[in-house]
Amino acid sequence: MSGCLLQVEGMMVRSRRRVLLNGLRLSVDTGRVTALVGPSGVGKSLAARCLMGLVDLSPGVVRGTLRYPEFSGERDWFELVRGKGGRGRRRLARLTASLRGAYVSYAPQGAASALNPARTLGRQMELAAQRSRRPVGDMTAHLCRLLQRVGLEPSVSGAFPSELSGGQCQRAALAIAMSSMPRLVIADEPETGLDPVSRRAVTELLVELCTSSGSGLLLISHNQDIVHRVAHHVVELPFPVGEAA
Amino acid sequence: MNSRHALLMVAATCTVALLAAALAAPERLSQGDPGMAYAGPLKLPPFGADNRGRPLLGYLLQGASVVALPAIGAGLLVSFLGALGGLLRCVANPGMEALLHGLRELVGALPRMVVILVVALVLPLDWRGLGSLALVWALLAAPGAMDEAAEVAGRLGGARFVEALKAHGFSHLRIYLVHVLALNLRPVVVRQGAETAMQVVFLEVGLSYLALAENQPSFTHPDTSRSWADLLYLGYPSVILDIPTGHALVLGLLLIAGIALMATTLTAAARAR
Repeated sequence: MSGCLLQVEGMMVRSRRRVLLNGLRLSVDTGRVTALVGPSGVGKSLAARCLMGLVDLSPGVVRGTLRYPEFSGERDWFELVRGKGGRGRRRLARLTASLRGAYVSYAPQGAASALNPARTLGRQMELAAQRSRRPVGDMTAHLCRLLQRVGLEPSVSGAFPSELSGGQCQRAALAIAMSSMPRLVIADEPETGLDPVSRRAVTELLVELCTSSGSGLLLISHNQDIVHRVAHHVVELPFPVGEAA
Repeated sequence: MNSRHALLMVAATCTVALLAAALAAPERLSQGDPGMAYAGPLKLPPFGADNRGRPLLGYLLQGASVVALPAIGAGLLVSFLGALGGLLRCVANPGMEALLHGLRELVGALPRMVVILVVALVLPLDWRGLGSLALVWALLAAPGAMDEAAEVAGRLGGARFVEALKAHGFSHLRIYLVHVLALNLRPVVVRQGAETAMQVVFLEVGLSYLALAENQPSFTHPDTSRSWADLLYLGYPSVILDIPTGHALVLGLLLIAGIALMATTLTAAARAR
């Protein structure tokens, strides 16, 4: 189990009407890239939210195990929600709050709409960095370094998201995700809304950031070309087939 | 000092001046000196005198005391209800959303001035006053404010940045109170509140002017008090006749402009980054 950051076995998620995800099985190791691929609507983003303990539908996770071996050893986090209803989901969200942002961070899909429109980029990075489990030292220097690593000028830290281009927003979202120096990054289609050149550049940048800092990366995408070039493991997510509700 | 701070300073100065004037208002106007009748601001500083030699300063202070609390109270109530509407949308209760929307449609269809006049006539004599009318005005404005705030909150609550904040481990309370309400709903609720406060002042001036023109007592304030409408009424003849009361008209208009300035700068400061 050494070096394993995330391990999911047989995850099944359903709403009241139908099965949304069935039999998801994946693991992410230190310094490695695991890709979760599948066509649109197959439940990739839903899987990402569930992996962070944010199960926002009922009954939600009904089967499977979720472990963060480096963070909590053999603890199965889905034990809190399987068959426990809304109270279980809220308890899971509460207990995994210490995990999110600190151990695992998230680079959302469509960064331009995922950044808080009323906060400067620097402030958003600072708030994310404050969740870090490791000391970041001089905050200003840390943020400047990160911005430079993602290819942005340190001066953009004073800019609002509306003042950035789509590509800059995506890079900013990566900088925010890396601000807390997480062990695991879940990137949900980071290439969404970008032109082909930026798409490739952003994904490669993300991979470089994670592998060079020893973090694991769960890359969610439906772009097979990029995924097969950068990922060490590829998990295909088929349309769920399961018993009707 | 950036532009936002400058706007805030202007809004705060106007508000403090309004409250200070209300607190300093005399219970009755002074007797006045007939020799000072129609005195201009240079002869009787700071604002001159009326047709009986009474300082216009008394009109200003008493008018402020009539409108200050009802206007600010109505503005705060609308802001509070607007924020509540935004937060209710965040908890995603479809029944509540439908109720709010229906309420807005229903109340929005009512002609507010007619409702105000009907309420003023229906209310018992003891309850008639600007306070109760301002409350009714705020309640009429509230569904629109709640619905508008709910729409903004709906756009943000469903937006990915809320999802991203949850993924960053922030609590729901912090996300909705700080990130949604304070940072993103603020322009809406502040604007709604400031507009309502301004409208209440204009309502009082309008109703009082109507009463003066009809030579009837106003139901927005006691007969012993003067409203800012008295300044306009006093100054109006100078426009068409050769009566030297233009300074009263200018003062009345400046006071109304001051209220509009207060609302506008407050709205702009809430929106400005």
